[in-house]
Amino acid sequence: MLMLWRVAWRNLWRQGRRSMLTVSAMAVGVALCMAMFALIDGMYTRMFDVMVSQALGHVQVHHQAWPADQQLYDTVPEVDSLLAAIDADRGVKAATVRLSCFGLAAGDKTSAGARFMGVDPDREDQVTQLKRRVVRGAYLDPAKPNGALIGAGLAEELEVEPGGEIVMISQGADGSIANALFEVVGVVETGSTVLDRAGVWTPLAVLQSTLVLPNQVHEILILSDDLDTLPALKGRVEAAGGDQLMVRTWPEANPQAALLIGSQTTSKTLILFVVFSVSALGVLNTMMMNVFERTRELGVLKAIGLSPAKMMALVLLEAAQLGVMASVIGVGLGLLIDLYLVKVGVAMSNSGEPLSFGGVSFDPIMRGEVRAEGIVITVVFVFFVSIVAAVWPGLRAARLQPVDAMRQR
Amino acid sequence: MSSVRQSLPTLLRLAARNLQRNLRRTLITTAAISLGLALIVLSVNLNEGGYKRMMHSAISAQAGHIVVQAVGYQADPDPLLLVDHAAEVVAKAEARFPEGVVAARSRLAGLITSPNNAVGAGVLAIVPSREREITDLHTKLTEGAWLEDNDERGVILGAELARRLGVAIGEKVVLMGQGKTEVTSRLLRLRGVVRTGSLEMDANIAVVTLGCAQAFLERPDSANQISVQLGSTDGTRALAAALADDLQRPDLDVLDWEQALPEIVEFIQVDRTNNIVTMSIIGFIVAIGVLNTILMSVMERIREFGVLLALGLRPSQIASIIVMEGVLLGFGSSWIGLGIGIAISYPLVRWGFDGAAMMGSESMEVAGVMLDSRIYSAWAVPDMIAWTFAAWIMTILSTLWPARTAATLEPVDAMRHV
Repeated sequence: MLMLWRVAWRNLWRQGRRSMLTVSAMAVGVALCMAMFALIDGMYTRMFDVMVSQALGHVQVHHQAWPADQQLYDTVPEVDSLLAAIDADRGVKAATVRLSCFGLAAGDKTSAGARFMGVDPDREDQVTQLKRRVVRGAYLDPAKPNGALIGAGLAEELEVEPGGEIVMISQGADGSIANALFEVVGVVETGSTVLDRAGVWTPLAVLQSTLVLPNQVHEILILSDDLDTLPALKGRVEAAGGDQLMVRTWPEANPQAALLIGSQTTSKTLILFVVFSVSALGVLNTMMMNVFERTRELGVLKAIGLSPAKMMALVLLEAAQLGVMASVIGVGLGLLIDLYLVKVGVAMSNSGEPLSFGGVSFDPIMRGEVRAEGIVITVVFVFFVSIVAAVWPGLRAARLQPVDAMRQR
Repeated sequence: MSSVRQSLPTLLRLAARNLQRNLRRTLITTAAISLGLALIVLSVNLNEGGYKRMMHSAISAQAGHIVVQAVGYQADPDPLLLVDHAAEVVAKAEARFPEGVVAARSRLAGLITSPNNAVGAGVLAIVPSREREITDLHTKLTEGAWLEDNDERGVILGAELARRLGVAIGEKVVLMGQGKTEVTSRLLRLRGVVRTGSLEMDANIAVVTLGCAQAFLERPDSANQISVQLGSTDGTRALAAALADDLQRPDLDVLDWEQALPEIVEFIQVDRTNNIVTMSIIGFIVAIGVLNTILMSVMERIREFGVLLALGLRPSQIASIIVMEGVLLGFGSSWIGLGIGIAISYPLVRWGFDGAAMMGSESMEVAGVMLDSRIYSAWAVPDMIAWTFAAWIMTILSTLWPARTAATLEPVDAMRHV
């Protein structure tokens, strides 16, 4: 085997220019795939953050009637003991509770529809990292029970900035008109077009009293360390709570988001297919030429007793070596491009306005994200493709008749 | 001069014979070029279809080929920035564009309450009989009936919104929102329910008549936007200027769709550029393959070229033979590639495919536009022609290096070459 490996290597370098051209075509393919993957991963990380981590949690708990009807009085029963059980679970990274309602938010001059969310400031930050999304002003402060954070779009619409006031007008659980006055402490940009346009975050207690829902919450959102064991976590939470609960993993809670996020696999497969079907033809061509040029020589090898299997192995080894070189050069080149995509990014809009896609807004500069798995898939694929492309030439080499082959000039 | 004219057909014939001599290699190279080109043609058509779809949705639902709106509304779509004397504007627009559809629209944001719940909603105020000719929203009705033009108390709700409010057809809801000077509310009756397929839209959309919005805002004969739908997206800038002349209203902007929908125009521009970069890289990969094959064929024929040189052929003529091979190979391959590309695009142009699996729902938002999941390609004729020629030129360019190599041969060395 080692002998074959060395013969293959020597054969490649007998036509060094040709081998390097083939390698460079494949390497450009590897680098292109890596760059596209980095952009796709960057985009989907953002989508996962906005659509899942912030909006759904990995596992969410509601009253069983809430998901369909979203009625104000469908609150989670016995939330304190349930929350204690969730906090004690080893699979839980963080959990937050929310009470929410729709209402009008009125500034000095104008008003707009808004979604009010009563949250525990610390817990909310652990789950959604809301604190670092504050772009002006400060985060919710326990010392200011009437403080509120508002989405950047809403702030613009109401012409309110930190220090200003907004009035909430909604409907309480008892059917009464629910009014409250909040001081805006900060403005946030979450990346969700809906929340940035309409979100208002207040301390939990003040919203509970405004809506006449003392000590009640509508949802518990749970983040887990391990996305693969969510069904087990869901089972434990179900067991800890009563039978009036609905516990769902995020794909169950929003199948559309799950499909959209899952679609990245389709895009990646498509890119791999296109790029490598083009470079496979290059490899096929090179190996074909290789075999034809050396018909005489291969005939001699066969005559001195090299088995058909070994002839085939020789050709495949040459292709594999091309694949290895292409991987090394391609990954090197790809990492350089990835570095650029991570540090500098690609402008997705000339005007500097954010771009929205599926309710998620993206920075005008799109940045890549490098994942080891993307590189591994690309390398495995290029290796696989180069070997597959060599099968046909390999078969021809294996089937040579020594006498005929040696007779050829 | 005369010798060149005589030798050109000879060189062409030689080049053709060379390609024929190693038919298998020629075919593999042709396959690489035409497959690459076919994929590019497929994707430019698919993209063109996507852009057309985006523009069509945005023009029909959000703007118009030409829109008339109050100065400042484009920068800040405040519901209270209204076009006054809207009926007169509509009449003048109809006189100017007798074959177009003119529709007045307003948009409000507010809270809809029922005895059970209070839910935020985006309210679209329309003239129902006109809107039917522009959007297909009325076809998404699952319960009840579409609004009548003079119905100032009726509302159509998205299916999820209606469910959360817990209301049935004929029942009452209250719309609460910013009125002319203060928070105002108005009692409405549910006339119908629509299901668009987008969860977000079904949970958010409410449709009322323009008359209802005028009463809510206490601004009779007003609308946020007068939209003119025409048959084509071409030449709209001049048509908008003509309408502005007819109107003579300094308080109004008359915009064409490119001015009214800058985000979408920009999205398409940026996407086009990014695609050109990606496809050029794919083209580059193919080009290296082609260069490799031609280089190989040159190396194989060194002896032969040596003989030709010894017979008195000039090095430039040797080089021309090789470039000619590229011209022929590229010509054939690019037309075959174009043909394959058109053939695989045709089903997508004719029948489209269902992209729901890729988008996660029957419709989805991109750059603020709701798109239906049915995806169609559209013929991007200039792009297809440009890429076909690019493939041809690329093939010719990749013969230059091998041609140079051949032209610098010394006859004696070349003939000695085994």
